Amino acid sequence: MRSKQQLFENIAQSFHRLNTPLWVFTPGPRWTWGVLVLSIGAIFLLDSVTPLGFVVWMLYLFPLWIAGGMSERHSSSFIFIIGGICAGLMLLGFWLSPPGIDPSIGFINRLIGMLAVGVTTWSVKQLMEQREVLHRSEAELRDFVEGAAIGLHGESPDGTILWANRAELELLGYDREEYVGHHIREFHVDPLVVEHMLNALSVGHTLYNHEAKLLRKDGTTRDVSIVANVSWNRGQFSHTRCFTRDITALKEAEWQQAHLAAIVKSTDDAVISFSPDSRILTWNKGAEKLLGWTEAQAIGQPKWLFVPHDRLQESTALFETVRLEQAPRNTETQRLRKDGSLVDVSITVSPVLLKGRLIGVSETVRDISARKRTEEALLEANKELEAFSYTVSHDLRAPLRSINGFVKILLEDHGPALNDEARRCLGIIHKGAQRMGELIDDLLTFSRLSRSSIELRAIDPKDIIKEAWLELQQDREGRTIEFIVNDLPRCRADRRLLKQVWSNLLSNALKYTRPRDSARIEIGWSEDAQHSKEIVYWICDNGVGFDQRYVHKLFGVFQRLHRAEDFEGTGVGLAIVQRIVKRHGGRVWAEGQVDQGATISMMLERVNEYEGAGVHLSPIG
Amino acid sequence: MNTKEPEYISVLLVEDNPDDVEMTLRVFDQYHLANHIHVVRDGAEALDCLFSTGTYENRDVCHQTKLILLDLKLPKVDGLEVLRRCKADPRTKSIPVVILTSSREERDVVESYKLGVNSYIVKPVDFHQFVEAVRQLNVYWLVLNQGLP
Repeated sequence: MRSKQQLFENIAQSFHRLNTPLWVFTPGPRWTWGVLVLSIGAIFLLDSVTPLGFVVWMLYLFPLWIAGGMSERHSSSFIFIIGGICAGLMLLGFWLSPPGIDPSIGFINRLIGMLAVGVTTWSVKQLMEQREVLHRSEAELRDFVEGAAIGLHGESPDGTILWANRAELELLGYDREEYVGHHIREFHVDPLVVEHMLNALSVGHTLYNHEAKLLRKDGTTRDVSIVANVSWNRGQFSHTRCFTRDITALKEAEWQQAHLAAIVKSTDDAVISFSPDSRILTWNKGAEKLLGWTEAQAIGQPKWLFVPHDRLQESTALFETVRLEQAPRNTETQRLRKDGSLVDVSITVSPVLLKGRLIGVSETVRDISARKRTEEALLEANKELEAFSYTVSHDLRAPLRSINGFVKILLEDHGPALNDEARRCLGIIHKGAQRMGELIDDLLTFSRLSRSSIELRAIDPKDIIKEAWLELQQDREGRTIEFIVNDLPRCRADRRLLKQVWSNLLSNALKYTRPRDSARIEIGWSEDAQHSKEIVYWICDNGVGFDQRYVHKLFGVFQRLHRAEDFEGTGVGLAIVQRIVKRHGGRVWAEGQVDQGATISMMLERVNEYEGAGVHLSPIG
Repeated sequence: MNTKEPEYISVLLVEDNPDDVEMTLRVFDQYHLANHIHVVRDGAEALDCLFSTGTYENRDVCHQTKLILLDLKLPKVDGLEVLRRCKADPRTKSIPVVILTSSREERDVVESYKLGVNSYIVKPVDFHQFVEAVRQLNVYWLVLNQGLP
């Protein structure tokens, strides 16, 4: 394997040598001695027969002499002297040997020939070895350049790319022939930058970490940092060498860091970071504003600088958790100001990770004292409201009960002693108290609605409608009612509240169709065209309807469109419906005409038929 | 109301509203159930009566009590507290307690049932309904219900 590789390398080197004039004579230094033997043989053979031997000498030695001049290890004069000696010897041999064919060439003659060939061959060998060393170091250098992690290229004085290494080609995505031979200008995004660079180089300046943007083959750009300098050859601008480092990621990071820094700097939240031993590393303007210490005062201090004494344990535990879980945590707590006051804050403690390694912890502190105050005020208000409705519920009804109770007692015990007028008055008192009781109850129901919790689930309205309908048995007694419920899709709602809605709607429909000999109540649905996620249920009756001009009053609390003598009620039913539907995120509206019936529609969130346990399959075809 | 102390009490009515007391007693009277009904006007007195403390010291009048009718909103000690103490004490915990109140508030109902109330009745504004409620209550708890021997 190894020898094969060696052979391959030798052949490659031989080809490389084609570029030098020496190739004619020997493919390598080891072969020189072979050539020497062959030459001497040829001299003996040809010399003894024909003066052509001299021609061989000439052909062999003169190019060697010239090639010898190219030696870099020995000064050219040294080689020149050697070459001169060779040439002299050659001429001497020629002089000693008579012109034309002379069969008797002397021993001296041959000796001189042998000496000349020997010296020449020695100098050639020297030369070859030198070349070899040079070649090897050149190959090493080439490999070094080619394999470098940094992009390298050479440029001619006018900016044409002479060569480029693999790293540079890979960085930009070009093939060698797409890059080498082209002008560097073609690959720069900003023409001003490249002109500036070329100008600086042309006057012999060295560019250090010059930032530029290069165009990749795929159209994207890369931020690079270029180091370039000029290579001079005997005082002449030979070429420039450019080292191109990809700093795109660095730039990106810089850019991001600038953004983050700006955010951290400008935010009103205090952003503080800690070293692993919980000392303050950074302290932004927000921290200065919120907590009072300046950056210079805070940095290097332990974290309990601004943690109140009784919160130290909590804070330490939180830091520990964040360190262990390496995930942010937030909580509401208190922090200490420089002036010794406490401030209500919400804090987020996050781990600071560098490539997965924890290098610290940061804490973002937000002042929530204003929110806390509002919350407390709201809680207070809510409590008051609750106390109020509790009082209403409890105390307002007691006197009514007394009024009612004692009117009844009066009638029962002293009825016969009273005249008709007195009894009529007592009746009015009784009715008034009764009605007030109803109003209080409805008002309480209504106010409770916004307090009760909602439990949303997929609900089949048909079941609920059926239940509500059955409960309204009393209102239906002795009446002819055509009640139609179409197939209804399911919706997402709170069962108890939705039942209240349908119960109110049905009771309304029953109430306002009472004057009809044959009442008709229909329930159906339509899809809301714009939002198919929602469904509109409607209930339509042939009752007394209402004047569309007053539709805005229909859903108000205690608002009535009919006189109390005609239809009983407190005017809360539809207000309750509206409040419930609104709490579900839907809406409700009504259409009607006097004596033409009314339609009340409500929009709720639709439930996908395939969702949930009760899968509803519609027939196919 | 009734100033004379009974020897024993079968129904203890804890109610601060005199009108309600009168109406309730009237119903008891009408249905001849008024025997041994005792009215206390606040929670503290109710507890004294039940546990023979304070003015009821040395008088064990509640050993035969079959029913406690309890209002929730009471002076001094409120109804829920009376209920809690009542159900926590082994002497009184087997006496049925019926809350008879004006409050429809859900938290009152929930809390009462949590504390082990036997029934929760909202006093209707309408007198007829009130009479009916009190009557049925008495029929159930005093006549039909089989208490502890």
